[in-house]
Amino acid sequence: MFLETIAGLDTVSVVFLFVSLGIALGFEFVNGFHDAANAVATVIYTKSMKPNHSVILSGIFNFLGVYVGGIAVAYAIVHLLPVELLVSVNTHRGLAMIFAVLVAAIIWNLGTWYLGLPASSSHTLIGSIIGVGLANAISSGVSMAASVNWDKVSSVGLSLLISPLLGFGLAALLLVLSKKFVRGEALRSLNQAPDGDKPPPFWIRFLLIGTCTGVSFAHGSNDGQKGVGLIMLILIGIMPAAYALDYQTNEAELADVVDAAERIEKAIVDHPDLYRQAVEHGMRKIPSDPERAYPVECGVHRALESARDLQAMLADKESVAEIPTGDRWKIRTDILCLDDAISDALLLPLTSNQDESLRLWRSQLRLPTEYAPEWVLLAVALALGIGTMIGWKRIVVTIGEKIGKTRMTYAQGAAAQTTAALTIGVADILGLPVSTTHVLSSGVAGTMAVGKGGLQASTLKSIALAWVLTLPCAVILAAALFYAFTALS
Amino acid sequence: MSQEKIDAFYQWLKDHPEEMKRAKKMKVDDLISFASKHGFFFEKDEIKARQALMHMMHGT
Repeated sequence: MFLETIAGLDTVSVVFLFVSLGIALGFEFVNGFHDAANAVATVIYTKSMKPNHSVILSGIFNFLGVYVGGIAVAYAIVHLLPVELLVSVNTHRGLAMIFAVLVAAIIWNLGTWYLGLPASSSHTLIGSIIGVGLANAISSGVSMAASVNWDKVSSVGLSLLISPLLGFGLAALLLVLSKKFVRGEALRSLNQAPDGDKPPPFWIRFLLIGTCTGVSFAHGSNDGQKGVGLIMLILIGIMPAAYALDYQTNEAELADVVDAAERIEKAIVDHPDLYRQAVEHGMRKIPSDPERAYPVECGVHRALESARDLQAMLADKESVAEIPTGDRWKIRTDILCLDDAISDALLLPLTSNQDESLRLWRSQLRLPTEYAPEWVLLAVALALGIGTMIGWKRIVVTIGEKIGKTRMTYAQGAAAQTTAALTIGVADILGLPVSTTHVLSSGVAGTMAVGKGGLQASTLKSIALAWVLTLPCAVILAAALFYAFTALS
Repeated sequence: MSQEKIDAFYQWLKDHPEEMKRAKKMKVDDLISFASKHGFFFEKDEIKARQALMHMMHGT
């Protein structure tokens, strides 16, 4: 379908498409070699595995992590943008926005890697998205409250903030528990640092390789999805007829969308007071200057219209192929607007049944719009996997403070890696992006804190820098690029 | 064990600030050959493993 659709595009769009896809895959590739050291450091340092073998293993599990890790995190990233921008990504402004996010994120990631500065691709990406949202709001006269999806930004920000604390605490706890429950020779072995050229005992090797594999898989599943989200924005923006809706959506799933639309319509008609309250809450988002508003305004006030349109357009449709091309973008817009209306309504004081129903309808509605084609997963998985494998080759030794005398015991390595894999895995299930680097390094810091190594000031500094340097720099860079690209378009 | 050799080499560099300045500008291969000339023998992968560990610990 990708090739068939390209045939119908003009030359400029084809160039734009391939450049954007190249940058998005480049972002994942850079992410792979940026984070390769983290994934394989412990097993190589402890001589549990040879470097070549460990980077291949890590690359394969990064690949698998992307491929089977789901798409919840990908769409959490997408939904950082306000719904009005998401339903306008097929406009020049929308495309400038995507391009600005991509270029800002890759410039910052490459720049920090080259300069050896602490960085987090999650903070970079989220900062870039906030940057284009704010720039778009300022240039369109939209209120700051509507510049990005602040509810989503808050939850993502909270997960970025809490996950390293969780990593720190859990790794420390694991180390304490291992000291309490492991006895004798096993405990002595665990608490040793690598000694001589010999590898650790078999079971410790097994543990370290297993947890390294877990970290690689978790890295792929969380970081890979960031690229998947970006690519879906590109495809939907440039080829809306082919990618606005999932072609694989079956008859039953389309019927579920119609069912949700019917129930939403009924709920609005049956609960006029609640509907009015939700409209009042949603109205706060509407731009003050109607002439400079978004091309499409979502919100609860148009929920009834969207619900009725969806039912009409999807009536008797058995597949997406049966839906006229012109209707597909409108269906996507109606679904996203209804989804947004539900998120507004969920903020009202509802009964648990009402809350549960809204969440169910929302999941039914999202079926045709929240997806990623196999080839997208495959391309991102390959970019991240290859980036990881090449990352080891690109480690540049910098003699100085960064090579200072240090030791890590097997137990510390295993505890930090186990914690990182678990924390990131839980974040995947909750659909929350986290910084794998921060989770892992704070896990190590946690083990150092209880292992008489003291609190690692450098780790705290790195995490703090991501908030005070990476985030604002990505915001400014993306905003500047957005202005430049909109001026060019 | 090479990690101890790396520690010893690093300590020697700290004790010889001029050599430390020179070492900071070297590429990995040159650094290894420079270290070996001064009696510190370790392999490229071993010093890279140390660097990777530092990346992981420092969150870079």
